[in-house]
Amino acid sequence: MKKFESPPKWMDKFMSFYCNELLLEDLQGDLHEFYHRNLTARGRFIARLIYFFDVLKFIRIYTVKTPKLFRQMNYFAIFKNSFKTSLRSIYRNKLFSGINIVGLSISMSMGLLVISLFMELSGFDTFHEDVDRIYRVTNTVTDEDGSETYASSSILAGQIIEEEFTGVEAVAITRNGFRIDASYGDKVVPIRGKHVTPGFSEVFSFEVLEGNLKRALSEPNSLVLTEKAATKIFGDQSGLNKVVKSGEGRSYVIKAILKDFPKKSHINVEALCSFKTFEEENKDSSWGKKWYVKWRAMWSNHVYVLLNENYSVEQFQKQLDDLSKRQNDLNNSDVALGTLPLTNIIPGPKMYNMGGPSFENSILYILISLAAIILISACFNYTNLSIARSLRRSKEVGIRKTVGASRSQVFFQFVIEAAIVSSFALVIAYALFFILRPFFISTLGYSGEILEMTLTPSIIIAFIIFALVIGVLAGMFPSYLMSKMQVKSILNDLSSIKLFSNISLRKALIIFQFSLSMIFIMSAIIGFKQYKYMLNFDLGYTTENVLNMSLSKNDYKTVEAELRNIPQVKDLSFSLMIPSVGSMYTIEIKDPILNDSLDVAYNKVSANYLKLHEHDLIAGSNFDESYVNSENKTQIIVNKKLLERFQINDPEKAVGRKFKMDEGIGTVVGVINDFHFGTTENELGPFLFVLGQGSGQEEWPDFYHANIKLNKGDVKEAINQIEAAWRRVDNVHPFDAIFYSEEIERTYSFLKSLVYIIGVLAIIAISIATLGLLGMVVFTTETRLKEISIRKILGATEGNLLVLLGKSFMILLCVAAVISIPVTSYTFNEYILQDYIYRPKVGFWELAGGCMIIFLIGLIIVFSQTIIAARTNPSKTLRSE
Amino acid sequence: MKGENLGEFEEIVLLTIAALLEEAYSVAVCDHIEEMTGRRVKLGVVHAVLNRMEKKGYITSELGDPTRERGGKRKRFFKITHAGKIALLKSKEQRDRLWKVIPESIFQGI
Repeated sequence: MKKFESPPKWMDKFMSFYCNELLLEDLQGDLHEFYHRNLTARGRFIARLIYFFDVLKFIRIYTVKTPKLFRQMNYFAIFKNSFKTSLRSIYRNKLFSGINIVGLSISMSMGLLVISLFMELSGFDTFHEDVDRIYRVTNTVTDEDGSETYASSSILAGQIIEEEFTGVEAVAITRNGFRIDASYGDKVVPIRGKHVTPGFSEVFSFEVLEGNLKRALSEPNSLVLTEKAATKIFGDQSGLNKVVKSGEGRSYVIKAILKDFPKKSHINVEALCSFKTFEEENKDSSWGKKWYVKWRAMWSNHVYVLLNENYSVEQFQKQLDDLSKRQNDLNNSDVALGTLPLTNIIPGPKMYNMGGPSFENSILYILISLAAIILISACFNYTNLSIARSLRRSKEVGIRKTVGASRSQVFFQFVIEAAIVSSFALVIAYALFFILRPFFISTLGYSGEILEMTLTPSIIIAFIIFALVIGVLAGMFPSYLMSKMQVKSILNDLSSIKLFSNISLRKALIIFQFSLSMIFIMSAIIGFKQYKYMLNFDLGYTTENVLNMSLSKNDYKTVEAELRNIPQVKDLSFSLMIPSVGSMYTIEIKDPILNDSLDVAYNKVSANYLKLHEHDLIAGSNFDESYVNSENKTQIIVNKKLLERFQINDPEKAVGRKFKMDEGIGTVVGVINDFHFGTTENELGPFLFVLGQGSGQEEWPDFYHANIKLNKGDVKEAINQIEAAWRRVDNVHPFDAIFYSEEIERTYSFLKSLVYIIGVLAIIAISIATLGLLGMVVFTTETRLKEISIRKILGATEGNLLVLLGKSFMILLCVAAVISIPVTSYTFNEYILQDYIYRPKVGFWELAGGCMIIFLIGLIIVFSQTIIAARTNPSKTLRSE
Repeated sequence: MKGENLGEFEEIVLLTIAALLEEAYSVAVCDHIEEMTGRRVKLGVVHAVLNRMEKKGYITSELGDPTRERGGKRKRFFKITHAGKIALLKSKEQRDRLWKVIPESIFQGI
């Protein structure tokens, strides 16, 4: 037979590349025929050449393939088919689909909350024009207690940056604490805001409604109001160029009106006052000239810079480093200036003195990871149940493959099925989102105050993408397993498929879920115990029935006169601050004998404060009510820790000791026992009470709070009377009173939120794990129904069967307990509660209790399902075969 | 009525297919036309015409058996359809009618 030689392969390939499949075969055959003719007639070279040109010549409109895209319309039909089968299978297996959808939707609602939280937070402060060039200057202060970073900076630093630095377009310095009671006509409205420098108008782009912001901020005694504040004072009239008077008698001209600050702004005040005004007001202060412009005075100012377009932060940081070094040498301090991009303020790293709303990165990350853990757990359910049931779907896969489905098509079919389940779950999760949103925001406490979590189209798109991603993730592994199945083995002999080799994987997934549930529930119990412990903590004095009321700069004597008339008021004292609720005031005292000085926490109080709070006096006497402080002698009472610090062993000997303080010589009149003036995060430390006498007429009054001890009885009525009394004294400021115990509760609200969140997570994790376990138990008992029946016929009792079916699951739960107990106790002791110096021991019962609950739930599920199987009449299951 | 009339080359191809009966595939059509008319025809042209006429419905095609000299590719055999036959007849009729009115004297001397 003659041997046929074919034209080069690549030419054929090229042809099949462009040519329509319907025409390709015979056309190529024709060309081959001609090739052979030419081959014999004219030789190989010519034949090949002709063939090549022929191939080229046949590129014509009618021969060229339609592009792939259009041909893939075919896939649409396949997609439609998979979609339909998936829906049917979801519908037919109501229990499994239900378990999957419920589990996914619960966990997805957490995901949705976190997504909308994340998207809302990342939108903060992004409305400024040059947002990527604006930085906040931060201060990191290092002392013997370690280093702490403050969001605030000194005015000095801001002014030097403005005057001497290169590469800076504008600098804005803001100072907190602008508060006036603005009066206009017969209206008095309290206004709060900041003093800001003219640079504020250049750095930020807040919308101005009337007036010129820059000019307004350059002049003394000029005030800029937001629309809302202006309406409060002037009603419908325009406030521009009108003059308001403060309670102290100063006049301010309204030079500009701003649109209300956007909600998503870290600066959110009612008014801006020019910094010049502040300078004028403090020109002749008793604190000395320019007391506020000091390197160390960085507590209540914030500095923002707008860098030049081509100027890098690194270059700017270099100048900051130089500045810090120079100033630290001058002031003998250790303060490092740094920068923080504007958009990293919210959400941002933890810093002190945020001077406005804030949201810590760590909270966001914790929430994201918790939601992720819960979601993974729910995805495991899907994976687990799908693998378990894959045997039942195997025939479908076999037939599809026989008919010509490729492996990827089978894979996508099952991924699509998972995506459908997760889409269903999304619908429920979306509804849950609305139910949970208010709880979520309130649970976040202080951090949640800036949140609205309204839905925007982009958030909804994010939700949908999220649901699809979750579906794909959950469906990926089972789909992979299904698509891997061999047609031959499916159709030949089902039992030869080694699906159950995945049993250890499934066990691992169950163990993971239950460990998670146990960890969460134990955490919730421990957290709750810690919270209760802190609320009932013995502070060393009593807070019972004490109502703390803010004085708002009113003279305490007037307030006292009013309150003394109310019969329910048992006793009354006044103080500068409220200890034990998180804040602290410090004062520098110097012991002339040891020549040693110390910054010590202190409180200025009226004479009967210690008696009212039942402080434990161990030496000397209480404050003398009739005593009047003088330059040479101010009465102070100290605690034992302070004596220890100054090496005084005998409290009795301490009485009469003199300490040098800012406001004169302090003389110790009494010694009290130590008490917890900080929170339970702080150790006991030295404390100092100063007898205060100043009235509200001054700029810095001694007393800001009234401590009202109430008689037991009708508390509501008492508060009403106190409020009425307050109104008689002050009609401008709101009545602001809160029970001491409530205030302490509020101090620990962070922990309460934590317990609350973990508690909710525990419930979610448990329900997901329980659903998963239920699915697995149902599946195993169903597949083993015949075995059970035969065992029963052979004489197994119900008890035997229960042990047989339940044993393996109970072992899994035990393993989960063994894993989770050490993990929980370790994490709590080493990390979470590490900051709390005073804390209850994490005992056996907290840990065992959590596990017991899970065990009980697991037992109920395993028992209830296996008992059904064990009680089935064997004849029913065996008859049909 | 341009679309309804057969083009000249179309007519030749169609006639060839009709003549070749069961053996009408593109290469054979080329060969046959060359043999009968002496015109050298290119496969590309024939292929295009075949494709066009198939779309018009004058011919149908089906795939035959593969042969070795075609590199294992099958032949596409064409068959004239009813519409094709009518088109041919119509075309012949038109020409006949025109022939009839031409006086024979015109062709004298050729």
